[in-house]
Amino acid sequence: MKEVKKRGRGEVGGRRWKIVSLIVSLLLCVCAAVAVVQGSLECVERVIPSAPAPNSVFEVTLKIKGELPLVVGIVEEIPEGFSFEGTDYEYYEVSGQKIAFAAINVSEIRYKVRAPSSGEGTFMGNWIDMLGDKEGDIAATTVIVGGGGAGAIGAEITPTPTPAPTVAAVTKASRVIPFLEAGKEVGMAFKDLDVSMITVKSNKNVSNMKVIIERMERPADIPEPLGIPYTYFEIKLEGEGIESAEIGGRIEFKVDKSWISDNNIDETTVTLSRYDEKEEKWNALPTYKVGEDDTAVYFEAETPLFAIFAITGERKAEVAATPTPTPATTLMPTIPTQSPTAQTTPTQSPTTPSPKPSGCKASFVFISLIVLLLLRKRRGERNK
Amino acid sequence: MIILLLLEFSVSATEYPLNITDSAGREVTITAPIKKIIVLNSDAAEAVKVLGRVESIVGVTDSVKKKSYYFPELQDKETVGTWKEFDYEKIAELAKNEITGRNDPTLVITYTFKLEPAEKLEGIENITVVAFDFYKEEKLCEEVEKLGKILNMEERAQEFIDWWREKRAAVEDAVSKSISAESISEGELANEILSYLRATYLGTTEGHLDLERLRRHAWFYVHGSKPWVFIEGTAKGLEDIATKGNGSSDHATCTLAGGYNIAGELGGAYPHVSWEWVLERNPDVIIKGVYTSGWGWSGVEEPAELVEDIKSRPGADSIFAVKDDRVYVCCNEPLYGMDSVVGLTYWAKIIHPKLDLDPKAVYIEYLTNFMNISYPEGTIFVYPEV
Repeated sequence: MKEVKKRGRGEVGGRRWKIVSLIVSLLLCVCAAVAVVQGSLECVERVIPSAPAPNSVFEVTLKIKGELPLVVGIVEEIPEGFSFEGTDYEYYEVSGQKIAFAAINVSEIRYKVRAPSSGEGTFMGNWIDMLGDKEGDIAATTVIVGGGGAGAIGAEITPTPTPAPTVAAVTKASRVIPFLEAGKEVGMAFKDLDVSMITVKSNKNVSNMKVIIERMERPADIPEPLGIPYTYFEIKLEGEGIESAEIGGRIEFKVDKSWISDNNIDETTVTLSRYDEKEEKWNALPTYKVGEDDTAVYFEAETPLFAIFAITGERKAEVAATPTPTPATTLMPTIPTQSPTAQTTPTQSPTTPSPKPSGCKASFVFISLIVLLLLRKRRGERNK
Repeated sequence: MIILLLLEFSVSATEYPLNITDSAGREVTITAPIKKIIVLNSDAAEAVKVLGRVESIVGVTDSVKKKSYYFPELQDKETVGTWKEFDYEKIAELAKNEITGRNDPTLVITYTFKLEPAEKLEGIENITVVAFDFYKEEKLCEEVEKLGKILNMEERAQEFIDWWREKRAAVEDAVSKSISAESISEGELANEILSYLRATYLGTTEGHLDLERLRRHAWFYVHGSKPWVFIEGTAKGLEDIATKGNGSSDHATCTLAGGYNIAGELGGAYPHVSWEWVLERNPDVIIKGVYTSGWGWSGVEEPAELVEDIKSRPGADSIFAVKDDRVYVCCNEPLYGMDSVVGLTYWAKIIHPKLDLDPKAVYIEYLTNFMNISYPEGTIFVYPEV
């Protein structure tokens, strides 16, 4: 009963939460972009008013982060009910709710959208770096027409889940192996991803095999793995002869040192787990530390096949034995997407923290504290 | 007779002693007009021949004799060793004047990385050792000019240098224009990207470039239309293929010819790579240099087989060079040394087929004007023909 009441409070404040979470995610994306110094294209961000007026025309700005020269293909998908009103940028094309841009040596593109009379919608998009081999998503952005006032959205609307605290520069990448000879290993390096190297080996010859790696959120119908999740990703293989071949390999990945220290993780417990769809369970893979640098620790694990993976770690034993409340514990019950377990476990960290530059971590904590103070203040007012 | 008179004239015009610095950085003094020349490699033999003093050569290495097509007049000269080991007693003997019993002023030409002759022959009267390479693009003209001074053939040296520079400039000019003409405009690239995005994300079914080709076009737009070139040397299997990196003469030739050497970013001048690496880099053009047993190929069978060998490697049909039928084999003869501008012209034509250049005509000019031999009609130097 108490819990229902808590949830109800979250629903009442959901729209404000949405706005707050949008601000948080935008700030963090900007922070991530600042922290990334290497490479041509770093990421594409969307800047958009979170609460456009009903039927108004508002501007969406796509910020293309990176050093010139830049050649990027971008596809934006605007939500149903919203309509594309035009752009001053020369190279674009519209089809239904999708707009394709060929961004050549520009650092931003602006386009106009007309809002419906009410409701909300989520803008999505993705980008392809034409001068590198990177692809990624533009973080989804939800806008609420009318500013989220009491009459704008029905009380039953569930607040949009907060995007991951940080947005990695690259969320998706792929490599093509023209020919994978049976019994021979082929390695592929990845930059700006949690996975730094994938080595594949097949029992049969495979031609034109595409290896696609994509960072993901844990789908709701997949259970949580043991330990504290660092990130989830999926590795898919496409190509001729894939079905009949047994293809396994090694995955080298890195874990941010700041995540390890901030969460008091025992480095020796960092594990790569593969999700077994048939058994509907996570299988921990033997994981070994292979090195480290100033910012990350590198691990390697062997897998018999490629699927959905999770990187997890466990807290150091002595800390787990004497849990101490942290500011985050007060914050957590108010996060609408938090599971009951997380809410009642004082030392549990927020779910699915993503790898991020260390500077962003500090910003996230700082912003979280501000949000926390605002909420406390609001609660205090309510209690009065 | 006329040649002899000219020689006499030039000899009398030179002042001795003549001090020069050779390419090994050695200070060398020529005390009297050179009467005899001993060449310790074929590059030196070619340089002396181009400067019109081939009749002064009295000793050669076996590598010179192997090139009978370039040096028919040297086949009966004394052999003083191989390209790496020399018979110093023979060299000293050849320098001696049978009538006077003293050494004639004799010039011994060696590579800069083979300075042993300078040590072994030091102090022997009238024998002067100079180190020149004659195969390094950046030093070639300077070396020819110095050899012209030493041999009192400065006008001939200048004639060659002018010709060489003219042909090189012709390639540079043509390549520059080609890169400019073939360059992709911003609008063209934008349309290609939009076509791809339309087909991939917007659900239309129109034709479009695949992502790899599109990315190559984007690279061309930014860096100029320089095709990606893989220079293949000896292949000892799919795991060990010799290629040419930054610092090699092939890298310089490729760059001058308007290509982007994909191995240029690897460390070292002569790296080795695997075929998988080549597939991953996906070159637009593959050029395999071959040291033929003779002068080029007399028929298409052998070069065609070499091309087919590359095209039939696993995964080869996934790379642009094979898809676009741009795998070439080249005879290395006109690529290195005094005739390297001929090889440069061939490579420019391979890399940019639309160039208004005629490599065969350049080769004919070189052979007739400087080597006094005829172009071997029917011989294949590049396959497929350009």
